[in-house]
Amino acid sequence: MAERVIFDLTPEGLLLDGTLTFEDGVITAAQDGQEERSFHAEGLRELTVRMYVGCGQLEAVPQHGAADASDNTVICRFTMARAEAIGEFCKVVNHYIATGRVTALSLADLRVCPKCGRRYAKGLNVCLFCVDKGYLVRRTAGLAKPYLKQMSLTAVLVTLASAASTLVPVLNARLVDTYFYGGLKQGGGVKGVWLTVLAIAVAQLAAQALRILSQRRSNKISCAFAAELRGLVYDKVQRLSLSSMSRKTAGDLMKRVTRDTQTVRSFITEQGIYALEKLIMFVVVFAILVNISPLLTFLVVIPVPLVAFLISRFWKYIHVRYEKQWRYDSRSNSILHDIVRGIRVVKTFGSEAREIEKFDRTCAELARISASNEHFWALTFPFLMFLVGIGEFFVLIVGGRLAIEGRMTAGELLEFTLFLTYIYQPLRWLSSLPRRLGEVQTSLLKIFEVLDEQEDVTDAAEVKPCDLDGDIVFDNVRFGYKPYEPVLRDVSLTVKKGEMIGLVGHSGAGKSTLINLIMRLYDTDEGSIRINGVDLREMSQQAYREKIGVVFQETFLFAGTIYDNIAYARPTADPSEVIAAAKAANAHDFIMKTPDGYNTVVGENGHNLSGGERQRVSIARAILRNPEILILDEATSALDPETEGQIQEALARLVKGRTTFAIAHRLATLKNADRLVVIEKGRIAEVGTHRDLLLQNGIYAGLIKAQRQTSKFSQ
Amino acid sequence: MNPSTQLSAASITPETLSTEYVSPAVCSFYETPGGFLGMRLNGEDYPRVVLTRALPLSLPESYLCITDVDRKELCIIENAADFPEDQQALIRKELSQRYFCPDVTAIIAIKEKMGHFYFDVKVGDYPMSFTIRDLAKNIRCTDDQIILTDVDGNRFLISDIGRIDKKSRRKLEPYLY
Repeated sequence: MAERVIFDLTPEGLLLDGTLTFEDGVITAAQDGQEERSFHAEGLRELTVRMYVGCGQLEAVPQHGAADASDNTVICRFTMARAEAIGEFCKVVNHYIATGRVTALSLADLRVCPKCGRRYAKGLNVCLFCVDKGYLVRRTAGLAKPYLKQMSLTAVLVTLASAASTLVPVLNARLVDTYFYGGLKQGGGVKGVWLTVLAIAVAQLAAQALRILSQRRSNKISCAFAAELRGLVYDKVQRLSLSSMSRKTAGDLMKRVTRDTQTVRSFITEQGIYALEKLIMFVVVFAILVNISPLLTFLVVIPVPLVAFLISRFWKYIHVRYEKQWRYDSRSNSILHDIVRGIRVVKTFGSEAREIEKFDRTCAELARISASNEHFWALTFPFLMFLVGIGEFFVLIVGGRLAIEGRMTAGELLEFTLFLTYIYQPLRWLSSLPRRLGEVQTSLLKIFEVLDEQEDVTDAAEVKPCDLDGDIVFDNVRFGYKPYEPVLRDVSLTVKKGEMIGLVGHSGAGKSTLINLIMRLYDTDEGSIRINGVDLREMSQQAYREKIGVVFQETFLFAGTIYDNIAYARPTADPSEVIAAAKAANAHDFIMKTPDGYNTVVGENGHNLSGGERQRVSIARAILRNPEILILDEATSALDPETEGQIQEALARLVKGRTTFAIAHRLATLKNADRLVVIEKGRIAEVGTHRDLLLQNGIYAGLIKAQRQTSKFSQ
Repeated sequence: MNPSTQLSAASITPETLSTEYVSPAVCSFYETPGGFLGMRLNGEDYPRVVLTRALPLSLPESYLCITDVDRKELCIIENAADFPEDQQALIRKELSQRYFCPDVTAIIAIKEKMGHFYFDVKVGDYPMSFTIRDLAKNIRCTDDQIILTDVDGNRFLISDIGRIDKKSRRKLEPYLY
């Protein structure tokens, strides 16, 4: 089967529709009005993607191509919109070149709506323009099913409240017709007036009481529903793989757990019940109005479509205007924030006047836009509200005439005008409903997207026992976070059990990525990592991670005590084990100097401790875990020499007898490593002991020399 | 010592600290049969070089860094106009391949959904659609031009806001600040 993607630039940088095909070992680039160009994969070492600014190009690298890439051939050029697809294409061809096997092109992650071609919104896997609204209703209804009984009861209460409310104008009409007009003609009765007024009061009281009851019930339902949603989303977020997590920011995930569920809750509480009440009221009152006078009802309805249209346009327009005001506001805030935070720099450079002018300019622009918006609001909104009630004037003119002519009683006219309020209120509310519906739809989409997300790193149906008592073998590992940017290529290495490996290389060479793969935060794109002969993908993630320990440069401590943070690695550990771990990590002494000892509260992310103290607590945590594989990612880089010495000592105890992978830019800290692995541009460039590599006089030797020079500069 | 100084230690060498501004007297360009830009510098041949603008927005044809494909800097051209016409043509061709920033000629529609702005525009006669997130970051207005960066990293230029039609300007205006 042919694998096909689209490219969209000519070599001269003009837009076009071109097709790139891979079939039977031949890559073909075809574009309108041009001859097809074909390349046989057999003569190639690989395809490579070079990314530029706003564009990129796909190049064929010949089997024995020059190191300076001068004999590469450009296959096609493309804009960034095609970059991911071309990257996937590149992966498929390279896999074919390496193995002779063709894999299917995976374009599932491209985040483009197949229907309309628009990009998906951030963090969503559905198109906001093409999403099936029925899907949202069905999905929400499914979740709301347990609350159906309570919701029905609330609906009954709301209906009763509406019925009680509609009694008020009816009784008013009766009062006028029977007692005021009737009283003038027939003598009437004060008692009747009293009784009718009492009935109006009772109806109003009953309506209010029923509303309070229904509101309480709806609050209860919405809180329980939101809590359940929140629980479901939080549970799923915990189980998401790191690649799924990295597609969303921490703030984004937090918003889904908190703000989006809150939006749904508010909608149910404020809009759901209100909507029901207004809808019932609208239907009932409309029927009553038609019954009183079809002609007057017709007059009420005539301006409605025009007014509804004007109101929706108004909201749309005012929304854009206020959005702009909001952005100016946020810009002036951020300028102020910048100046206040950087006040020392501002003063040192004597640039106060310049900064004041910058801030004044933004404030003036904000003031101009705010005034213009307020002006616009003040001019248009009252006029709109007048338009909303314009039907009332028609009713009074025509209705008054009908009453004078005796074709309608004064009470009926009063009843009609009172009921008009019941009609206009829902109309005003309905005009803003689309915006609120839009908000809740977005929140629901985001929630369901998390709930429905497939996990990238999953356990096999039948997992093999997690026995790490053996060598770790990297077999032709290839991996990239983006399809067009492979970070690791052809990584093959065997690490003996208990060996300490130092990973060395320039920034961005792929060291941390290799560690991410060892921790199985991601799965390899090609090749495998095997421990004791078992592929990592065949092991249970939980069982595997229980046996590995990690110390990062950025230590993360949870709000709680030092004891809690160390015991986090093994909550069942007893105090003697926690103390022993802290001693091994050289943390015990500083802990004992604090008044609360191990019960010292570390504060959010351990801000009550210094960097070195936090690092030692995290080492203690790793020691308590007693891991079989240990990963040290720049564990000592942010520390002063004395603290670093203590931590090195602690780490030396920790690595003893464990398979260890350590990354350190300060190469001296890797002097105890059994072997050093130099990674350069995603490939293993050199492997050997410190001495071997110095003798090789290659990349490692260069790094050592450069570091010595820097040390001289800084002395 | 600051750790960040150490992090970049490997890249600080005497070679990288010196900057060589070159003139046409010592530097010339040619096009390779494969369509790449080659350079002769002080008698030495570099069969494939890459040009990078140091100030792509304010001075697009000045301060051009010349590197090899691994981004190792070889020299800097202070001003492309100092070079002969044929050489300037080669420089411009290479730059046009490295920087793709189509000039938007008309705005058909801008729709907002969930903080994402969906633009339907025309680049010449070619219709294009793109999505912008975070307007504050991705719409840059300078004195006379507007640069829009979409979610994929594509850049679109409105080189002169006065030159696009009134209808397009009205559609764009609420999003500029």
